[in-house]
Amino acid sequence: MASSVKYVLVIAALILTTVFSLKLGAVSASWADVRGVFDTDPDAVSRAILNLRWPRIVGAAVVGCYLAVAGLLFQILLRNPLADPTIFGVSSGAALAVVIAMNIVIALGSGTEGGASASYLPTQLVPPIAMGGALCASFAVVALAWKKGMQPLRLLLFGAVLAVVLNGAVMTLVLSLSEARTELAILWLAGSLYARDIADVLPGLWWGLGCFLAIGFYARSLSALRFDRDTARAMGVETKVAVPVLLLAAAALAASAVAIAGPVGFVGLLVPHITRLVFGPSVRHMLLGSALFGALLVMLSDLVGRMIAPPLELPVGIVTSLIGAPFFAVLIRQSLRKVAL
Amino acid sequence: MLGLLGLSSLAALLSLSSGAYATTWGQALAYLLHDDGSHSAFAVVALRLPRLLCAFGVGIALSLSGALIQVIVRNPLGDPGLTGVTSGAAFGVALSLTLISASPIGLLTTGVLGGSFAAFLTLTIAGGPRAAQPVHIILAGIAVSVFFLAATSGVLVMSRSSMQTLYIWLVGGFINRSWTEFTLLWPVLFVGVSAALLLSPVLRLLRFDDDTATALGLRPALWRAVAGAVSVLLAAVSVAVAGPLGFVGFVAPHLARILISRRLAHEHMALWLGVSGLLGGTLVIWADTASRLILAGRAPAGVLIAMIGGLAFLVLARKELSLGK
Repeated sequence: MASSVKYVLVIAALILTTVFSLKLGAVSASWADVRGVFDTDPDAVSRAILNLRWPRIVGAAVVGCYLAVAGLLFQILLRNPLADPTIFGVSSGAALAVVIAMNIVIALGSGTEGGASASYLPTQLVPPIAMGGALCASFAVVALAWKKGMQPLRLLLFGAVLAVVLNGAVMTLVLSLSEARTELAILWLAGSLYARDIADVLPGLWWGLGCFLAIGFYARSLSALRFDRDTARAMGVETKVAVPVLLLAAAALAASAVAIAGPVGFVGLLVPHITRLVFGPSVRHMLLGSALFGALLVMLSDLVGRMIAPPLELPVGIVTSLIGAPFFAVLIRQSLRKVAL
Repeated sequence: MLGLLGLSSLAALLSLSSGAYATTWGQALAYLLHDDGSHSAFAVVALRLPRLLCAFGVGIALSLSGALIQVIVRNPLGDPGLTGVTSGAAFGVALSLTLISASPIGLLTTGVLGGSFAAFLTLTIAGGPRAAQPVHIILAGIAVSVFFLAATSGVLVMSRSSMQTLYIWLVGGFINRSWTEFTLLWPVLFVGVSAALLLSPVLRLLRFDDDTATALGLRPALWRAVAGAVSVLLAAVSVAVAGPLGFVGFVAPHLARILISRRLAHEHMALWLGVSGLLGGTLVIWADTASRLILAGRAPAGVLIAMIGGLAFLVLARKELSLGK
């Protein structure tokens, strides 16, 4: 099958998922109401769908796309097929940074006019703060796992444990923030798109755009970086520049995703492998395909999470974990034969 | 040893006397002997004492379970949480709570079944109990553990529990634990601890490779299975009481090894197991008391345990892995 046909099929699946995500939910809308979304003057039900479900769908697509591409970059740059920003603790680092910042803002605000309720962290500031946290966590993981070079499996082990530690810190801070913020705790620990507003998604878009531009610029280098550094250098890649820029882009994408939905696990692990199966190993197709499949996976997972026990919902991060963990096990099994400790 | 007992009694006193109805240490002890019907006495005897005993028992169960795993798979990184056993047990217990029954025996059985299944999965993924390297078992365990924790949340959400309940469940802790939980805990704990101590001569031989153990007149596969069953039982009962607490089973045996020296831990398995158990119990009491004092009871003890235990794991595992290679 030509790759253009595959792209058409994936995009068709995306559109179909979008339509069903608009229709299905705790309250199932009729097709007429879903169509009404496109009217110039939508009626009440259509407006409700537009206000409540549309931001979620956009958020899911953005989060999935960012996490999948971040995972792909980590997998290529660390030459580790098991890399994933959430398993590595990178997402938890981002979450911790945001929660600390929220605490600081509330502490500062409680003394001034309006009290704690007026002191929310401006949403534009969330992505850069998350990025700082993501970078710190990335450095910490690499430093912990470093022993005469990068050890792929140790990186995973220490990353996973670091994630647990950072999640504990997030939980403690969120719970000390105020008495009844359980929804917030879920957002920052399990990854959820519950009650996301379009204003939560927008700041992350600009960061993502910048990252994608940088990745597009270095796509040729990325293709060479699949081989070891010396080979890449021999192929004319300025590894000293390309590697840090691409790693920064990966951390920024993961952080932007966290700023929208909290840590959503296994998307970055799963999607590049699926994409490789469908589109083959070309880096250009891998990047585009990962972005599309990532969006599709998270949109579907969110839909499943909403449908499973309405009106309650399973956070999207838990759905992706249910799909991703068995897959992770298979990859570990495979890597036993290839990668030595 | 004396210091250890001192530390645990200090933690116990602190745990009994602090809370919404603060009492002095002396008062708290007096209430234990004589219940004068006051609110403070009720808080000490009916609320804090069972909670304290649950924390102590769970700490012992988890550290012995971890110590057994470390011996069976000859893996210094062994821990019921990191090998997926506690998450499997949590899934079993959650399933039983929502679908079958909440009877203590039912909870324990499904916990043991879930834990055993998870242990089996972890070993299979890692390539069998002997072929696998320490890091492989733990990575496989993390995969299994993430899966079962996610599945547990699925079960709880489908049974209409609130998110609050869900979190307390997934993190583990001792909020509102009473005599009911303790009566479930102590018989199993008694059986498990006795079994572990009785097994200690065998465990010592299991540390050698299988050929040596066979030459010494032992059937390694059989005894490994027996010790594994005891370990899963202990992990399952602690999950049924407190939820999936992580890292205690890793940290306590390691600290015990440092405390009584590696050589003594090798030679006197029973001593090592005993010290590990006491240390584990003490650590969990401290964590529970600290979570009440620092977090004002808003976060379950599991949060603190995961944070501190995880940090300890990072430090100790780094050292352990560089020793091995």
